[in-house]
Amino acid sequence: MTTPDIQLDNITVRFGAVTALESVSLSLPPGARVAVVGENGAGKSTLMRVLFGLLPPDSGQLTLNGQPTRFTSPRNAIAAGIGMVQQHFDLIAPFTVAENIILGNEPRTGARLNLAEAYAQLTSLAEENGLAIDPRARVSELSVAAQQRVEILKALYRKARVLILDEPTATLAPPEARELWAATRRLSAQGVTVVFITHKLDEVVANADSVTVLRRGKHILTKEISHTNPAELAAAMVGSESLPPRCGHLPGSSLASPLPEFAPSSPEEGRELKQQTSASPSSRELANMGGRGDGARNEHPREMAATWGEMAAGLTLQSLTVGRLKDFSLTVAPGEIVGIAGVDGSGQTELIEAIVGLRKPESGTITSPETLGFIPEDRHRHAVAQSFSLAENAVLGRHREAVFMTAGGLIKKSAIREFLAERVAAFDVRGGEQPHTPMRSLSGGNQQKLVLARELSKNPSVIIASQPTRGLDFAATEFVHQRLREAADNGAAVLVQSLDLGEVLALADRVAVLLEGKLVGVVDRIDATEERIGALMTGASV
Amino acid sequence: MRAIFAFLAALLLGGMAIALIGQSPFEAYRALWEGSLGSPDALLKTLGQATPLLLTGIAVMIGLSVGLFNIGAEGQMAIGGLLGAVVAASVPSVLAVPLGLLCGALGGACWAWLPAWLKLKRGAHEVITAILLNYVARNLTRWLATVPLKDPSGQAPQTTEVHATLPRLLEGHDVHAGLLLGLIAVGSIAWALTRTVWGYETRLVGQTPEAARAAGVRVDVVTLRAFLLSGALAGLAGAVVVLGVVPFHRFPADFYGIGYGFDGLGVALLAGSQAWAVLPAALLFGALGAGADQMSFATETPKQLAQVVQALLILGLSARFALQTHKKRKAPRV
Repeated sequence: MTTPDIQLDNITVRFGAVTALESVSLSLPPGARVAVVGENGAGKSTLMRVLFGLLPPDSGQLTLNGQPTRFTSPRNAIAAGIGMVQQHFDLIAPFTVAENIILGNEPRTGARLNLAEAYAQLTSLAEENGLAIDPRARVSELSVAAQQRVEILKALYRKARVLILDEPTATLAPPEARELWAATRRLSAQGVTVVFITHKLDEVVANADSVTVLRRGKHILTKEISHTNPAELAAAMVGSESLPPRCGHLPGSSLASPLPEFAPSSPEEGRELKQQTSASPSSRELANMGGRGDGARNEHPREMAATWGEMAAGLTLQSLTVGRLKDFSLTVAPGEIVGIAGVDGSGQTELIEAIVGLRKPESGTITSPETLGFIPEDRHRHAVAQSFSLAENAVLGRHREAVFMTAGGLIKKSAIREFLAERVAAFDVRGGEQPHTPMRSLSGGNQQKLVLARELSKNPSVIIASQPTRGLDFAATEFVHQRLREAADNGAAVLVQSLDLGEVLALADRVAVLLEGKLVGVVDRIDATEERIGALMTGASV
Repeated sequence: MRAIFAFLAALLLGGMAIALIGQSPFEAYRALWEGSLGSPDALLKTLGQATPLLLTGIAVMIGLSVGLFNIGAEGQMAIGGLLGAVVAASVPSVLAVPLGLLCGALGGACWAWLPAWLKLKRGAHEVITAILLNYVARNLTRWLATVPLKDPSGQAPQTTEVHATLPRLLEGHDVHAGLLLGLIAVGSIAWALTRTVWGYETRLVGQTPEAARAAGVRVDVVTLRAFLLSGALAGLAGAVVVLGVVPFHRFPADFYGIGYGFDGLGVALLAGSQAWAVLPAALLFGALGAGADQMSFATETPKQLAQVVQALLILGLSARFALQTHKKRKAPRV
């Protein structure tokens, strides 16, 4: 099969009111290596899904060797010689490599599966393309890089001549990534077109013939790689329009604080604090705990995370190593908002989980006061119980406080209802009037407001917010930002992590940039242009 | 709604089965009705049958609340029944009932500890370990009642007679004080699950363990505590049967398989997410049990076939449960 010449013209995709792609064009000449870059949510994956027939575009034209075509399902795309390697592999772990690859196209002798034939075919296919793999190995025993080779071979076995790789190096170590790029070079030398998504600009420059930059669903530029440079691409990725400075403080507003009667009980009465008195009063030393694996979960997060004695002294992290995050040090002072910027998977999840105590650091020190407000990235997993009532969700994590629980362990229903009513009014939680309403009946934005209302009601001296406005509309986003700024103005130390650089820049006084688990820079807001942060995020030298 | 549909479908299938062996389904169902609810006598039989089901039903319900499926209730019941019988046969009669019940509950809790511990420490699925432990419980209790703990004065493989039994609530009927224990257990646990911090944390761990952890709840402790309580109530059910139900008053070697533990699963699933609903669900199962006895007695329907109707009902309800979990898994995560 010859490699088709593919052209995508003015592709537009809408999800309800949201335009995911707006008139984006991409040309894929045979044998080319084409990079599609952009921030999270820029529309890269959406474009690839259109190309692979997973998503019908609302308008626009797909042309195959000059013929206008429509793909209604991946079946059409595969028939046209297109193969896609998703970011999350689609392999059956207990099956062998060969069984996975031939699935759906099994070589047979009569009714019998001819495995010997399959092994022979795969061995020669792997050799031709320089993708070393043992067809008899079980997928569950393979490394991520080897599983990726299996996915590529699976596409090639189905006669793919156009390969789509969605963030192919996101989960690879540098030497594995080098091998992958070498393989793509060989494939393109044999005439296979390779399209890949990435946000690592050095990879683009080293491995692509041409590059297309998307931002918020819009086509920003397409250039031959020899006519561009990382700085230009970084600027195109994150946009160069200047952002308004931090603004909009509501003077004198105290919405962020709860009514005095629902304020957290004083430290002397707190249950957790009593347990803390026997522990080290200053900081928790976690150095030399390397024996516990990445996934080691901490059973008593709050007790671990909370250390008193340095009440209201902000948050201090020293040489923290956890999972992908290596040797991270940072101080967030009271009244300050520090933003964490970085492309997805740079270690920010590990950082947040370590600070709030959901994950045990391998080494390093975390010093934080007792009261911690946590607005997690994954609200459904970490912040609410969807089947519980609003009242029950409103006190989650505070339910053992004397305001809400009697000495005998009974729930103080009326106190919780009053508290909910007060929070719902103060934070404008729409649909939150009935305490028995299950949480799931609220919209995402209103759920998030209730989470925020609850966390800020603790009067926390440290607030950890991870993607606090993910999936929220403009008004709700603005509301959440206001509340976080107020909390900082009232003296809280606020750490905000977001994959949306715009959000980080809108909130932060200082921006700490993560790249591949390392802190590559801390930039004051005044010097933090999108170009500069974007360059640090992508490792491009400016 | 689905529960009602499952019930009707089970009745229909059962009727077809009865018709297949040449009996009149209408006659059989009339006997079922008369044996369960048709007379005051029948009602009391139903209450007697429902008594252990209240305990095993609420036991399974607690497990479900914390996110575990206690399929080991039958085994925990056998262990509790044996311990209760042995203790009640070896202490003075004034202590026989309270100590027997207490030891029965403790025995059930101990038997539930292993699957819970394996789940928390090793991630072993509680259904697998509890099923395996059911076999151990069956053979262990059978051997103990046949060899070391056998009543030396008789031929039958069973333990010696207890020194005191649960008092009857009505002379000449099957209803004994265990019914009150069951009602208290269902009522207090249904109340505690919604009104106490213990219940709040238990349900929270069952719903979203990660959020519970993030909220500072000690997930392992809460899980273990709930599962031990589940085992204790199943063990108590065993002791209640041994000390309360008429032909027993001792532990026979073939006690395991009496079925109340497995029926407890059906009772809890029928009750759905509301703990208090264990009461009507247990009464329904009790009525079916009493009615099935009458059905096989009054018509020529074999007892096994009468039990098929009950089994079909459980089957329909388990399917409903599986459907729900399946839907939950498929629901998109936003």
